[in-house]
Amino acid sequence: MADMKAKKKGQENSRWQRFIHADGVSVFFAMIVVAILFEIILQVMRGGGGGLIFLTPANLASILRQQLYVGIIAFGMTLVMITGEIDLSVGYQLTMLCSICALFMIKTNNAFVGIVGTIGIGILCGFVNGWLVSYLRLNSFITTLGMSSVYSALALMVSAGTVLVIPNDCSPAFQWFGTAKFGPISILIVWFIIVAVVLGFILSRTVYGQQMYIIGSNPIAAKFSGIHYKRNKLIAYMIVGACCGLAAVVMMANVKSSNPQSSSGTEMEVILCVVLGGCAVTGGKGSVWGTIIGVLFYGVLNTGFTMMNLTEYMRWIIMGLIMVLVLSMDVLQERGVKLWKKKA
Amino acid sequence: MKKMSKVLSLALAGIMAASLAACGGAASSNSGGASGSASGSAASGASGSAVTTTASGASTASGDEADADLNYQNYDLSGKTIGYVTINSAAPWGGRIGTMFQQYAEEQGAKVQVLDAQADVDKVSEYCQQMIDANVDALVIFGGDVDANVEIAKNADDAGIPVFMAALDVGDGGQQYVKAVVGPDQEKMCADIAKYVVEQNGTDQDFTVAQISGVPFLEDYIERERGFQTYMKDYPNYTLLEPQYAYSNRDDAKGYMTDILNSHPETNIVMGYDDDLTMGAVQAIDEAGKTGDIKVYSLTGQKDAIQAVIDGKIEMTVMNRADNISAGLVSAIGTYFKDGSEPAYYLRTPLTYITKDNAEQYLDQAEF
Repeated sequence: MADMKAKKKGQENSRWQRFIHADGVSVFFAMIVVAILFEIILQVMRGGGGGLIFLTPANLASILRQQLYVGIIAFGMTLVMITGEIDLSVGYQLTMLCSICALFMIKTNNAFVGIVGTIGIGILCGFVNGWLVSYLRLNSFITTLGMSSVYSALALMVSAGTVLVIPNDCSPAFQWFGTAKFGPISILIVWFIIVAVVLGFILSRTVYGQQMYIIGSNPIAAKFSGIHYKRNKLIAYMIVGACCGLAAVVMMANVKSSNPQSSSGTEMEVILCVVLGGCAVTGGKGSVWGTIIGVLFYGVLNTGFTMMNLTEYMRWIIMGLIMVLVLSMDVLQERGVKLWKKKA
Repeated sequence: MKKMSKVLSLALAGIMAASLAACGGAASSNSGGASGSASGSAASGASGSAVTTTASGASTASGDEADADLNYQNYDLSGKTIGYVTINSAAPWGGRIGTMFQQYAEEQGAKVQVLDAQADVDKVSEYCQQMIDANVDALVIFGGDVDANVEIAKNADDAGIPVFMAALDVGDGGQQYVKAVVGPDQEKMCADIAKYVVEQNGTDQDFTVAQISGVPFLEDYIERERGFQTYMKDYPNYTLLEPQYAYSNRDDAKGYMTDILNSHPETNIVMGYDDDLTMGAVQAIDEAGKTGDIKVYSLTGQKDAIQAVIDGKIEMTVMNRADNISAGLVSAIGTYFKDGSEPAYYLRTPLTYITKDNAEQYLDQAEF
């Protein structure tokens, strides 16, 4: 009996250990603390007594909705970064794909062309990036930085340097992609969940996913163990391209306006969310679950600062400090440094 | 090695956080802004009507200020090489100034060399210096750091190259080296909008004003905000919330507006400093079911924003055509080369204040 109890306790401890060592857990706890802090601060600012302000379901849903595009791309980026590579072109890829999607809809008003065409071109962009990185063995940092310049120029060419506005009376099927609702749940949140589930499954439950970790943590071993590391990396880049395409379609279906510089800089936001979620920039470590936490944490901070009516510069300072603090905690924990020692 | 890689990870993440802070998490830094303006009397009475097209200079002209000549076809620029340095050709409005300037100047026989700093302020100075070294016949600068442009203008002046500024002035002390600034008085335009807001809404009740802006360190937006905020300081019943910067991303503007509606449900006025972003706020207001309860004011004169004025979702927008600035620049340079005479320092391009009363007639005149 005592043995069974001990065994059960051991299993519980093991589960707890696994949980607290999972990717992004320290960020998860930090996010909860920060969200509660925002609620307290906002209550104090308003004088209290008027019910919840920050932690309302509507506001939490709004945070998720606002992080949707970054989140979808971040899930794809997680795959690429697990292999030890990076894609710095996602910001301009998204910008270009938004312009292409808007142009398709303005010229054809055909939802199939707009959706499939945009995602298809996104996959093609990923193929080009992936082929250069994996088959030509070019440095991913430099290659994708260079390609971002190409995509930026293409965005300008496609849009003729101007804002492309999709008419409000465009194809209902296309609009459904960005504005439909399932009860109180926006389709934007559904896309976020679908992409997370699919890529999470691929990473954790498929041979391909497991091979990605090996490629990232020990590329030489991966090569000699017969893993198609070139093909696998290529597929990862194509997936991130598809994610950019999907994000572009959903964004255009929702806001119906493409500005040729609207999403430049998104790549830093995406990478930051992935890294916040516990993905190592050196590869071999990371998960979609962790990335979800990274994306949400970033969204909580952004929305909290807006609701607190902070000045832009103050927002940057606090955001930077919190990010460095949280990331330090994660890294120190990994190094085995105990942040909180138990009293004897 | 493993430890080192983690340290590197942390360092990179820290750099990313810092970069993100520097970039504000969204679009590239200095676009050329999205719209501009010119000065002119806005407005109308409390009734909200009688807002008409004005050429700014007409109401404010002084010795240093006049209307820009938009008939660029009257000037011959044959054999002249003109350098055009832009902070960012990717910004729709700012990009169009450059595109149309090149087209108009080339129509008049000039050869135009364009260098795009791609949102890098330092590169503007570098590219201007390259133009000076190339000994162009005239130099046009759009955007960049106003104070750094003083030094550039001086260098150009020393080299005997006339400098013309598109839309934005140089910093203090640089005016003596610049022949003309062609474009809008952004500050005054937004002060005019503020005046219209007060006239339309009165001073009897309290108002909470949300501000949706573009890029916090871009001179266009700085001037616009200054104009609006300075005027509003005299009206304590108008509480201004801090501006939220959506850079060039309509979806970010929509998100910010949603957050504001959640945290400040009492908001009843929105000032958007760029139509494209304002439309994001309008979408958020629509989705919150508050259309009609919140009055929205904006500028640029973008087609869907004019449509929103017709639909009653925006009270007023101000159209400021980029191609007018381009035409004014060609004329100013042409005037200078014609007989060596210098035009007035500020050459103002026309503005159109659009409300529900006149929106229909301007719907097809929008540049984008």
